[in-house]
Amino acid sequence: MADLRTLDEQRIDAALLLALWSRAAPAGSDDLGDRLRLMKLAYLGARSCAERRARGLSTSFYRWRWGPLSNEVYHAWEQLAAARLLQDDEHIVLTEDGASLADDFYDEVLRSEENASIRAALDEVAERWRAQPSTGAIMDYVYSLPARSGAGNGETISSTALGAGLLKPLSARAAQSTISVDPGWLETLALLFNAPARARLREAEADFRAGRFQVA
Amino acid sequence: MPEGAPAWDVRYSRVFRRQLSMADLRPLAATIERRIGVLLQDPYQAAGAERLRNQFAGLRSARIDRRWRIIYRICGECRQLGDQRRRSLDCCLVGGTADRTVNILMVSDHYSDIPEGFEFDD
Repeated sequence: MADLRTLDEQRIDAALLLALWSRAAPAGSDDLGDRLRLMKLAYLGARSCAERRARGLSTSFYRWRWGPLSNEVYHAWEQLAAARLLQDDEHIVLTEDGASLADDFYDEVLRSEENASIRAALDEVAERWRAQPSTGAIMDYVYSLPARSGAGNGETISSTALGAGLLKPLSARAAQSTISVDPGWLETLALLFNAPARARLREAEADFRAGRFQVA
Repeated sequence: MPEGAPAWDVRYSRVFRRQLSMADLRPLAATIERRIGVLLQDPYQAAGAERLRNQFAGLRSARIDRRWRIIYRICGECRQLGDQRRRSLDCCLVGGTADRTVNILMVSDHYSDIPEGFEFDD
């Protein structure tokens, strides 16, 4: 299915997820957990934002074999691994650059007043699950949730049919707040998630150090 | 540039010079030269200049158009904020440049999903 997000939304999603996963890891650990755990954290983060009518993540989730699944979260993994912010193995490990980006994005973007409800939504999820690193516990919890927030028909995620939609990004009209990211950060993320540009930048910096430059 | 303000020294990396002769940027070469002219009026603010963050602290981006950016560094800013501790050029290591020096590193494609023809004016 085509990714309908803008490039900025894709990059912001990746940075937001990195910040969420980093804060949901046990203190002092760079082991973020396995893919199942991180997918459930992403779902809970997106659901928590939606319940506050805050448009943070632009991800969609549908019911799949192991619960809520989002193709956009897979895309974020690929972006983050390609930028060497994560090491994507059986367990996903935060690199030094990834930890630095997660901290700076949280401090400089999410701590701003206009992003307060998104920060609160993600903090709630991270704080709850930081103390429970096992994948089984978060899986059981997610399966037991109502399929849609506020649904009173007894349908849980566990009883939802495979392939059924669970959560979509809030429309601009439904959102009471939308994540605000300043242009300097948008430019930073654009460069960060562009592997050829990063390689060219290293080469250009080496040009100067080696005297390979031209004075106007 | 404010009247009486000294001009900026400009240095271009070999990568940047090579990029201008590449197929996707050759048609934009004149626009890029023009945007650098705008940028040099005030490298801190002109041409949509933005200071980059995190691992790119010390670098700036300026708009060529909706899609393309000039990535550069200002010696005075780098010295004042200590950016050379994270990323260094020759001037960070051995000095020899004025504070009013702009180092043009490269052109970067930030929004390749935007159709050609959208120009940014300022």
